[in-house]
Amino acid sequence: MQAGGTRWRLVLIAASVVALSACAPMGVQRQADQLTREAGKEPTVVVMPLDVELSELTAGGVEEPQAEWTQAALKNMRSALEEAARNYKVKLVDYQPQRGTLEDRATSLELLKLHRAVGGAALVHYYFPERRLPSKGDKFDWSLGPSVAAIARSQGADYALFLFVRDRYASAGRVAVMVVAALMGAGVSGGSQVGFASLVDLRTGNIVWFNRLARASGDLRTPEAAAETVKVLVSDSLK
Amino acid sequence: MTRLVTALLAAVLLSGCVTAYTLVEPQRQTVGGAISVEPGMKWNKLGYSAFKGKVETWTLDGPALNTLLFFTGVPDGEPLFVRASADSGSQEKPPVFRANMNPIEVQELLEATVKLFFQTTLADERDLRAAPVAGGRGFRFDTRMTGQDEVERDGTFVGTIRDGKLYGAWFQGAKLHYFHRYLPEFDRIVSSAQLVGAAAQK
Amino acid sequence: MNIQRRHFGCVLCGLAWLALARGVAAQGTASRFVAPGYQPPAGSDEKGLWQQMDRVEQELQTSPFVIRDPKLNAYLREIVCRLGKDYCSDMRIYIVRTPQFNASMAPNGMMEVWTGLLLRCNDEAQLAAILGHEMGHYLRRHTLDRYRDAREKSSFGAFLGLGLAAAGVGYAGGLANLALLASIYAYSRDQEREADQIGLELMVKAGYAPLAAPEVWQQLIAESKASTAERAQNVMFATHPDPEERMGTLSAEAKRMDKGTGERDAERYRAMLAGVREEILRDELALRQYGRSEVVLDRLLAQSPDDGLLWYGKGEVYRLRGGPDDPARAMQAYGKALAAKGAPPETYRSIVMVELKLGHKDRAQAAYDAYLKRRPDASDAGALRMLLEP
Repeated sequence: MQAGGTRWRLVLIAASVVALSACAPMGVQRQADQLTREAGKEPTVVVMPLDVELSELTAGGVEEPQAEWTQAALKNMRSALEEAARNYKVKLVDYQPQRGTLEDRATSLELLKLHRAVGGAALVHYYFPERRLPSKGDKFDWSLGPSVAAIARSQGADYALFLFVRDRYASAGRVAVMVVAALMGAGVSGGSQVGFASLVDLRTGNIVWFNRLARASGDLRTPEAAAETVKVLVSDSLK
Repeated sequence: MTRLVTALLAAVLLSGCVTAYTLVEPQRQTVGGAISVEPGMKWNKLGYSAFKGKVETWTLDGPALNTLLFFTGVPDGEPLFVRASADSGSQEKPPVFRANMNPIEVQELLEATVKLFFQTTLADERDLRAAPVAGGRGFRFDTRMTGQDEVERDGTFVGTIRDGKLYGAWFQGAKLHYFHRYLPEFDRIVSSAQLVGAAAQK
Repeated sequence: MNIQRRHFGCVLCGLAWLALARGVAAQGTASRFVAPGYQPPAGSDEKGLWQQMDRVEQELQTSPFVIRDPKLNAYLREIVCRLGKDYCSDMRIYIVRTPQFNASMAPNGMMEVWTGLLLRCNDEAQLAAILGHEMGHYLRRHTLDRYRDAREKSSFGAFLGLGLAAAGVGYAGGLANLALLASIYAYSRDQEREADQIGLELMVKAGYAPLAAPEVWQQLIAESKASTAERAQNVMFATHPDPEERMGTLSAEAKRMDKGTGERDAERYRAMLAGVREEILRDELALRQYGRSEVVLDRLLAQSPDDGLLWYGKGEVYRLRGGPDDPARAMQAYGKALAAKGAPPETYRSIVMVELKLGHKDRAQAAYDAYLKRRPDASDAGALRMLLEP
């Protein structure tokens, strides 16, 4: 994409920020009201590597990934998850990439990449009315498929939790640019956010719980806000 | 991963006020005025064209997960498909179909087209064999591709050349789950296929 | 706000480092280079840049586009270590399967070499020239300078979504962001000249022939003349502007430093690449850029006229182009391939197809038999039989 393409992308992101807020809020999609619990046993949920990246939009429009913010967000989200797990009596384990057979490890890696595509498809085709797939009706039936058994085996888990976030925050300078632009009647985007969380049943591969992250519910850079975000986004799924 | 973000956001904007997908009912129907098929289940037809050319695109779970491309009479001198969104100036010239191609050359053409369209070096084919297509002689081969999203995809192409034009269908989906689950349905569609209209005349 | 304070602090520490790094030093003294084992100070913007590159590197480590052949990787490592012994452990090399000429160095020591480059180098010295040049960017921390430069310019334009992943790193096969890459992360003329100079110094110290360096650019320029579209899409040109001028300077410098004793290691280079040569040749052919492929193959053949794989490649260019006289041209090239050394069995496979096009059914049948003899377990035997049936 040449320079024209860049402007196109700006417009695109600006428009989608509007679209995101204007869209009929689909909210949380749940398949099962509660995690299946075998009598007397805590269900084990493996937390897949959190696919989170926070960046800053500078005045000049350069996207500057912020390693510190990302690290902080990951830490905050992890502890918020821990707390939720304690509250709902769910065993939370971290994904261990070195566990399992060679084949299971390779499959798990493929599933991580597949999830980005599946989660992205679920996000686009379920939450944006213009992009709905009519053959599905109101169904939410995206799945990672039965090969998730590889994760169940190697991690010893019943469910897997995936989190994907790309979040751009406007810097002070950027906000200034936005204000000036607004005064002049032009629109300049102030950052954007794409995020989703899914809980996958490792017996079937089905996404039994999926949620879209909306900007209003959280700023992941501070512990309090991250906890709130996680609570809204995810912890309900652990019930 | 900004690529994914952009793609997602692009999906939102491009749709505008028009629904991007229309329902395909499980009944006999004609695709591109040339191929009559009878799907066994509901599909979704892409109203916008990501793939530009003599193609029609269907999907079940979204184009990132599975796609069924119908080639409805690609004539001599035209590519199989090109990117619809990019401006033609910046695009590299795609390879074109030739009426005198043999099945191996069609296979090579799809590979080169896919590599260009998806900007990848990881695409290959295997198991090219003769197959009955639309009541006549045709051919079939399997494909494999990994795109920029690093998701491995399996596929199957079925086609025939009639009266100097290429007619066929290429079903592709994520190797994990999304291709194999629906391969029987693709086979069903292929068995039901007939050429109609001008294409039916030899 | 947090951010402003951090930047202020970093401007100071940045300036301090810049002063050190750009300190006047006599040519050849190590103090103008970053120290071996260098790590940026905590909390600096450089640290943040490294951390971001670390994340990109993590992605690269699981990418299916990276070639992990141990022999080939060891070979490239060996060259890098020969060029900069002290910095050997600071760098990691990733061979990425992309059919374009490019190599890049990220500020954290992550080096990318695209297979299109490996295809085009004549010998080890030419590859060493490129690697040495990229090491020059690392040793002088050019990317950091460019990054700081870009951030300061508020009128720099909106480059949403490009991110630091583009800094010195090419997308596997993705040419879409070329112009953007070029405008943000192209090094300045001074920086390029500096990297060229350092590359030459490292080469000479390691015992390579310095004349190999200007040759690489000469070859690229010749190739780009195959078509103007080519030039526009050339990644190396986009990020290294004005190749003619640089070639001139490089040529003069190289001649000055040449003692006539430098190594080329053409044989060794070809032997080390044996495992991937066919694959990367096919990648080039799949691009269907016939003019450019022909120029590259002709040049490589001029140096090794007995290379059967290269002749086969030439034949494929003509077969795939399929113009009016191309079948005959293809047959001629295949003939040369079979007469030379190392033609792949697939040469016969191609002959089957071309002979059928020319209407020589018997010869096609003979070629099929020859193919099966050389490759008894050919998975496409059935496909070829299909063609031979009436």
